[in-house]
Amino acid sequence: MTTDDELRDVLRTVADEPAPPAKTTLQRVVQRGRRRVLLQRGATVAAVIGVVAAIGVGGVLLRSATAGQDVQPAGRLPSNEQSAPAPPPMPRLPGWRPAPFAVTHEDGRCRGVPYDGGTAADLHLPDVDTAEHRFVDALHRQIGTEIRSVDPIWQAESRPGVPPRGTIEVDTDIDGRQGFVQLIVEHFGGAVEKAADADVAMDGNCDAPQRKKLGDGTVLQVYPPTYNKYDIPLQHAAVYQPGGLYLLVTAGDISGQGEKGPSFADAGDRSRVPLDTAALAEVAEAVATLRR
Amino acid sequence: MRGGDQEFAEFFSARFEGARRIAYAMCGSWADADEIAQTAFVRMYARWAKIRLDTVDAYLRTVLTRLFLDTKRRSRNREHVVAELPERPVPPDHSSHERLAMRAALLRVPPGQRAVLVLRFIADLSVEQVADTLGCSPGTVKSQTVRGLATLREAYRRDENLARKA
Repeated sequence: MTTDDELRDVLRTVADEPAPPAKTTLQRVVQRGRRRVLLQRGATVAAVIGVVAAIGVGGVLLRSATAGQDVQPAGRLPSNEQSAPAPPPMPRLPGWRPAPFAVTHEDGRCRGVPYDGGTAADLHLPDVDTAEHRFVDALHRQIGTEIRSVDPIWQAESRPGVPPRGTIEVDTDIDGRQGFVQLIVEHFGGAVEKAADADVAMDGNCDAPQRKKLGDGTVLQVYPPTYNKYDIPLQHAAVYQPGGLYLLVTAGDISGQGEKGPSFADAGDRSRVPLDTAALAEVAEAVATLRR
Repeated sequence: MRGGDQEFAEFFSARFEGARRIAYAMCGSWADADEIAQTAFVRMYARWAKIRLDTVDAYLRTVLTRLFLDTKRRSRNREHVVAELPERPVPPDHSSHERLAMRAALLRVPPGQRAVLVLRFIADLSVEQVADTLGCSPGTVKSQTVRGLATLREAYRRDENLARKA
């Protein structure tokens, strides 16, 4: 073969090779795609990145459960719009303490004390390969081989008007129930504990999260199970590093695609949300060691 | 969602196999190609209402190629590049033999150049279309094409000789 034309002619035949049947189906694509759409609309990421919010009317309710006791719900305000059965209370994690729960109540939802930590530093994210390995390895330890797909989307450095942000989405299939575990990585501004305080009522939840502080000053916060506004049962765990790196791990169940009904692992059925509270905390601690 | 799921379903039916084959040409593995193509269509589904009909094919190519390049960057040991052709009987069909040698040779081309060659000569895109897909200049596409073909030629010559000796 002496000419580029001859080379190109043979090159064109590479994709003509007899192919095995495709494993992908339209149903699978739509299922994953819908989950992505629902998460994009319903996900609540820390609002402390350079945001100032006005304190709502109704004053401040300060709750802090006594150390050594199980975390009790801080008191969900009655809501005529409550459509799904309340999730069970979160079990107390060894070595974790209830987070200070200073919140305001507004329209049946709770809100943390606003904190303006200033603009997040313009720093790059951790390496995506390292993040993916750390995250997926931690998931494997918790749920074995029930991972169906891993999909990272990573913008490690800022672009004009767009701060760095990375996500790794993992689809799970546990005993036929479709779920997901998602890692979001970005930056926050200001002090670690104040940023965590501002997020105590993530998703408007009026139940106190649990908090753990690591030796290097990193704060971890595990939130009670909840539903997002599309009735997807899920649970979050957040990590706030000194230096401004923020990580959010979210586990959820999409089998019902928003159908109402109890669907939490802590209710005794692990085949619902992929990770129970303890497993979620373990995954959060594993990714808390990620560094730029 | 524009036209609902029906429109997307029609697009999927019409385009998925072609996308899978392009991904296969880039990555050399049908399993990986299936995963790359599936993820590309998942991302398109999530953004379907925002994609203009006249650019949907270009958007698919861009997403597919970026997924391939991201995969290569993240898993450098994922692809089994052989020093010699895998053991299999030399097919009596001369064209199949050539295709086998070409497939192995293509996998020796660096991922960026490989993507250019696949988009230019298998997907049959113009230099400008490849530049749009990769987010680079037409000049870069041309230079990558020249380098890619040179690497491909040398690798093909080596692999073809090995195959003939088998």
